[in-house]
Amino acid sequence: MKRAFRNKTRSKKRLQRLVADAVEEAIDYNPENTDKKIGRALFSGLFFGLLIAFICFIYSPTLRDYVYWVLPETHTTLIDKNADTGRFQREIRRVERRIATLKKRLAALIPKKSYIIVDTSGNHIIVMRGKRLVHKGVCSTGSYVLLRASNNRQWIFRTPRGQFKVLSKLYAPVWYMPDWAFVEEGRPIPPRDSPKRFEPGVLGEYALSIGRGYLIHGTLYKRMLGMPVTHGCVRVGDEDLKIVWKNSMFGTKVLIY
Amino acid sequence: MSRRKKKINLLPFFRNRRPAQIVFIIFFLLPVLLVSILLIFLPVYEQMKEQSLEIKSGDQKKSGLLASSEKLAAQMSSLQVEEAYLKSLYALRRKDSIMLSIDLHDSLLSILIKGIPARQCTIKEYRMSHAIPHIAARDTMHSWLYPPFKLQKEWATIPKAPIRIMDAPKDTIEANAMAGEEISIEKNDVHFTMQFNRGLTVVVEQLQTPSWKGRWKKFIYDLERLHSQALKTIKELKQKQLPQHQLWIEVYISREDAKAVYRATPHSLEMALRL
Repeated sequence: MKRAFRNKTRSKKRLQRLVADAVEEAIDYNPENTDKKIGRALFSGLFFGLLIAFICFIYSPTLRDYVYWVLPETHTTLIDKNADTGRFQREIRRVERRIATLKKRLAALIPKKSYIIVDTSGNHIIVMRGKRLVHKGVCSTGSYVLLRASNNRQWIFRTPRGQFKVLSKLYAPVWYMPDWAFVEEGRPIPPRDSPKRFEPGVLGEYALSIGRGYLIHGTLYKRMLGMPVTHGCVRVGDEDLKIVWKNSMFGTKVLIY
Repeated sequence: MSRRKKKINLLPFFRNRRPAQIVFIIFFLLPVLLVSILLIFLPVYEQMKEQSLEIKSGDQKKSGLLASSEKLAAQMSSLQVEEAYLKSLYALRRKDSIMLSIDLHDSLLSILIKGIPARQCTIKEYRMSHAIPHIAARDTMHSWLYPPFKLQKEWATIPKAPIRIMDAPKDTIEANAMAGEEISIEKNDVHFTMQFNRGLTVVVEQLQTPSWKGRWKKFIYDLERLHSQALKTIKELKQKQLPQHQLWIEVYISREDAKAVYRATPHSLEMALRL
């Protein structure tokens, strides 16, 4: 009884499978359906193909680099076992001599005497002698403020970059206040020769002029040291300023970056 | 009753429809192959061919000067690379603006003013294009390194000059109120890319992990770079030229160093490189 039931179920399943296959085959050979499927395949193939092609286009430099990675390196150094070794070694010595000369010339570019380096992004001042660090201190440099006045005048407060030289050393300097100093404080601008323009004591004990009106000087606002707050000058604390003053003379190089 | 043989499926979709599967594969591969051949394989092939031509012409010039062993040839090659670097450094001394030197041999990135190193940053890590060893394997490396590379374009996550616009106060009361405003120190993440002539790109990355805001800025910066690269490729294709492969060097330095280098370098930057 049980066996008969099992056989019946098996044959039923077989029959179902056969029907399913037949239906699938019928669909396969339905010309309308096949056309639809091919159209769909064409568009989806093109869509995904273009998508991948776009990604390949965007990342083509990276992919090209991987091609180089896969390719073997072809060494093309000119080697001949029967070549004249002596001649080649003479050529090597010639190149070595040229290198030594270049190294000497480059070393000669570094000043033997003291020179000053100002880092405007980190607000540091460094005194160097040759390749030796003499002193490193904190300073304040240009604030990058663009001050706009009502009469279309504007000033940008940045420390100039490049190589400068100490043009003069000033003791107890007096600040000649430019127009922007009055504009910034909302005060009326006095005439050029007005005594209101002269302000002693604000530049500290010493100042070094590096040209174009820029100075390395002291400050009353020590709290601000290390921050970009100046109008273009380099402000240094009293102790650091003393060392900078002592190690500089007329013509000392000042490198600002 | 024999069961029907199962059809082999080429793809997981369009099951049991061989013609549809073949159509899909053809139309999928067509644009992919076109782009990869035109933008990936052909430029590499052309460049390799060009280099081998250079070598051949170089052979004629160097007639007679052949190394007897690989060791001697390698020594000569490294000396020539060093000479090219030093010559570039020496040439930079004449320039008035700030210049850059990257010495991967000694892991140093330096800011130079009139040939004097104003700041030397240690390169903690670096990676380079896989195409560079191909040049290094040939005798053309030193001629690629000299004269100094000239900057053409740059991208960065920080502005070159952090300019803040301020309107002048009307009176002293307003000026006093403005003076009380706190000045914050910039703590932005720094990533920048410099594209030089002779197909060289230098990517400078900060060592520190970027903040969430920094990551977003980096994402935008990466998009800008990709966009510019894509435009360049389109321009080259329009001129019926194959895209030139950019050789790249990626250096990792500290955030402070990266900021100092980016802010210090002018738009007319020139650079000496030693590999």
